Amino acid sequence: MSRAWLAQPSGVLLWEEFDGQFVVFNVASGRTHLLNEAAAAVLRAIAELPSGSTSGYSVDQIMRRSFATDDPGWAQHVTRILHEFESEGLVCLSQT
Amino acid sequence: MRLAIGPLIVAVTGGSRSFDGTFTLMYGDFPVRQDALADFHVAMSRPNSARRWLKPQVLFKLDNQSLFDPFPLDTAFPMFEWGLNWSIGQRAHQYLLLHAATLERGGRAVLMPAIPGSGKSTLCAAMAHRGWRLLSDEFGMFDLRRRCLAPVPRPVALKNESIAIMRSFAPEALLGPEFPKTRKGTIAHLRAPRDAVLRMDETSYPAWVVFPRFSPDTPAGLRPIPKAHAFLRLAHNSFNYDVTGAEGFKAVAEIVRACECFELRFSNLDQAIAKLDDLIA
Repeated sequence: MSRAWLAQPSGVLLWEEFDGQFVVFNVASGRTHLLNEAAAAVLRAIAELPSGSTSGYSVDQIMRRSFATDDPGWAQHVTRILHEFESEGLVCLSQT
Repeated sequence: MRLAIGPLIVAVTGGSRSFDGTFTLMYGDFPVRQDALADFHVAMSRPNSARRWLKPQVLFKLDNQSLFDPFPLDTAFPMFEWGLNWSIGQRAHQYLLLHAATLERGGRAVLMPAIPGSGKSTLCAAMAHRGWRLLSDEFGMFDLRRRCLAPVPRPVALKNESIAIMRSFAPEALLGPEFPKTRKGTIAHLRAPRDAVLRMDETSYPAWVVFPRFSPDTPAGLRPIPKAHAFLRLAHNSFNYDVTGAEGFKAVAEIVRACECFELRFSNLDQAIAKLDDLIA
């Protein structure tokens, strides 16, 4: 079964955009992150999951929602971003 | 004695003739608020030991607690300044405290966050004698309730060669005694211009974030930097961004959104100030 990721609960992440770059504050960890547009698109896709959803988005779903490509190299890049997000507490691994 | 230093009330008890003399020289223009509640109770006290007679020392006490090792008595004033900086950084969390020189002109303020050795204090002192109003050499104090910068126009600590540079650049500036052999070398304090103290109830709004860096033999130049990068550098240069959490994040965002953001390289004070003056035009 492929992995899937969920957003943090509402209010945990605060966002600010400055000219296509994003600064994200994780209220839970107190850490601040600088994201480029691609990383921000990944995080936004997950954040747009319907509230209460438990199944999360897979890499394939994020690719379809945020990037008009199914390029395997890009999918690998998105996977790396997701793992980094997970380790920083910006997303959670879906339990289902 | 209780002094109003911007919005802060500091109760100070001296401990030696030399400290009291320098303190009076540096803080003589600040209003006494003897009946106000103090934010900080600071005492520069002499430890009760045999060293009292051999190599006299002084302790910085905050609320009657000595938090640091004693310093030589003849460096009591630099220790007071350093200790008060520490105390503000630890406690004044009603402000986002940016480690930045802050000056105002025409109602708009420039924040100059910088690491030690960047020339921040020298540039700040120079600007304070060329038409900019000194808000602080050390703190960009962004009031989290009123959403503006509060002045705390305390003395500017000049180090080593900056002392002679400022004596030459602004002969009218009042400098206190030189303190050799401190941890940062020789230090002398430049008294805040009287106008800065008289107007310390006037808050202002940030308009520019400028990261200065002294760079030998380099013509002064301002280079715009991306706001997201300025955000991270400002947050990194804060004393209490971690403590203030989401409020601090929102405050930095508000400042960065309101400001043009630059790096400033300079080797000549007049050139650097001319570049900063151009921002106003």
